Amino acid sequence: MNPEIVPVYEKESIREDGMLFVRTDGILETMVKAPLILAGLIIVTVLMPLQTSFSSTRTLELTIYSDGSTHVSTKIDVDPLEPDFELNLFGKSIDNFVATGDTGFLLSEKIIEDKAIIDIFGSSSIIVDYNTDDLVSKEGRVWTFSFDSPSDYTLLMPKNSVIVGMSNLPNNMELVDEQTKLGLTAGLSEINYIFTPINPTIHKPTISSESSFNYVNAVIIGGSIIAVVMGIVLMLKRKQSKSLPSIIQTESTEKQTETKFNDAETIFNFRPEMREDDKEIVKFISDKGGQVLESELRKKFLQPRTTMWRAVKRLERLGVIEIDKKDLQNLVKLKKDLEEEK
Amino acid sequence: MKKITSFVLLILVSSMVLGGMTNTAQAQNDPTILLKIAKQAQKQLENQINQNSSDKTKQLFKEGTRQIKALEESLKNNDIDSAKKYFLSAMKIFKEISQQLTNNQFSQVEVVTLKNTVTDPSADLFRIQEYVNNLKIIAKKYNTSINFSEIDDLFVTAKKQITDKQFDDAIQTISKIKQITDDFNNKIRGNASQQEQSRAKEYAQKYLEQLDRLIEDVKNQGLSEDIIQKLVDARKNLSATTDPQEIIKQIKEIKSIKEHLKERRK
Repeated sequence: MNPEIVPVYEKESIREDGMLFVRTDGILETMVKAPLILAGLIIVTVLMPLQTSFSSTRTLELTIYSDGSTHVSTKIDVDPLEPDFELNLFGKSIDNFVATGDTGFLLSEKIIEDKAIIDIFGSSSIIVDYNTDDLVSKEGRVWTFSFDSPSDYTLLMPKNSVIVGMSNLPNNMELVDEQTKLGLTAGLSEINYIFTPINPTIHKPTISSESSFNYVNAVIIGGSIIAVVMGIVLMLKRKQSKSLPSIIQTESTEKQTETKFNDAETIFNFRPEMREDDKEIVKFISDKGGQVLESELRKKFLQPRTTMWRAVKRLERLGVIEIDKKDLQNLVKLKKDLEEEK
Repeated sequence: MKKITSFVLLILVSSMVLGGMTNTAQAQNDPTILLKIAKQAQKQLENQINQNSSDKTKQLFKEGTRQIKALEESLKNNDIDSAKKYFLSAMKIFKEISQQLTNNQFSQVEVVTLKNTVTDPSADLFRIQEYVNNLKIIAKKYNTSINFSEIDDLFVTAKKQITDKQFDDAIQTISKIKQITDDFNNKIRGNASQQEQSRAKEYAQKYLEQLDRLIEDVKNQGLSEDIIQKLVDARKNLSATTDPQEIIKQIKEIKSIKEHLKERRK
């Protein structure tokens, strides 16, 4: 060994048996580069969801039918290097078993009691669906769902059922087509329920746990997105300030071209089959001078983003509007020339 | 430029931190859910308890109601731990009440409900429909010429029969659906087995390439001839077979040889 004190930025290479010393005042410039951190953070941010989701059971959804049988639907990550995969089933009475690979092809299986040996041949994930009668028992008129889950899961209760006993705490609840859908954690859970001829959805308007929960998430995520967008806008503005005259010129040209559009009546005559709610949208755009931001439409009609986007795309297909981009937002404009459906 | 980079860095870090917080929050319970579930149960049982119910049941119900009030109070005070405790306690009481009501009050209405549960084949229909939906997706994937229109019509018929309370007719229709579904399932599995064979061969081919490298390594390391011979034989067997089950068997044998090899290397 021949240790040497060598400032790393003064010598390009060091001897194999040498010891590396770095001057602390040069460390920031030499080793810590902002772009590198940025790239690293981006990679970490991208990989984080993958890391958290990379587990054996990716999703597990259970649906209880009114006669006590349970439909199990699960997506599982498997080792693509193995020729087959042994799956523990949630019961011994298995019916309607279907396993598909990640390309959607049917996989053959052999079911032995509560195990299924599935030939995966290179699939990295499999989707398995089956019914089992072994998760629900009945005593008198009280039905009991008892399940020791290997992972978090969702449970869709049968219609007209009311939960009257629970051994574990749910982490979520929502109503899906008048059926209660619970989010439950891994481990043993017992849920007792009864059927009632009276619709149990007496508290229907108040069951909005998920929406209130999502609101918090939405604020957090939305805040981050807005901050990023603001950053990008700031960057763009800096660039724009350098070429301002040309942009002003372009905007004035745009204004000139935007003045002419078809009024709502002409459009309705052209497209008599148009849906009533779509007509309202067209009328609103027309009243607003022939163009509005998509966000304005959402505010006006109190529609979620996806619903409004579908409506806008529908109108675009009908050939009555066109969608442009303005300041990273969708600008919906009535078309000057009506055209046949795409 | 530095300011912008710092800004973006800040955003990324904060979004990661906030993202982590969100995940943690998702794992926690939304406490208001507990009150909703407990109140639904309370309301339902309240409707069922009548003058004929035993004093013990009535007493239990009062206790359950007290637990719900305590749950409500805990939620107001943001005392989540107590809220969880009161919820579980209330649900335990309500379960007991339900069992008592079952044992003591097997009323006429309940008998009718049970009878309906036995004869109404809705659940059976939903189950088979779910299965057929799966088969449809797979059939499309294999471009099979299976025509699902007949079975779709039968589903419509069965649903109508159930709506009209013609349960015996509905059961017969569902039986027909099951027969047709079995035929479709066999056809699809026939198609699938051909595809599986080619996937298995492809998989075996990749495995053979790995095996060749392994054999080469073992030869270079000068390991015993019997191991090399075993691997060579296994390679020969694997390359000779086209049957998926035989491929699995051969690969498992190779794996056991590899394990044996690992042991030797230790």
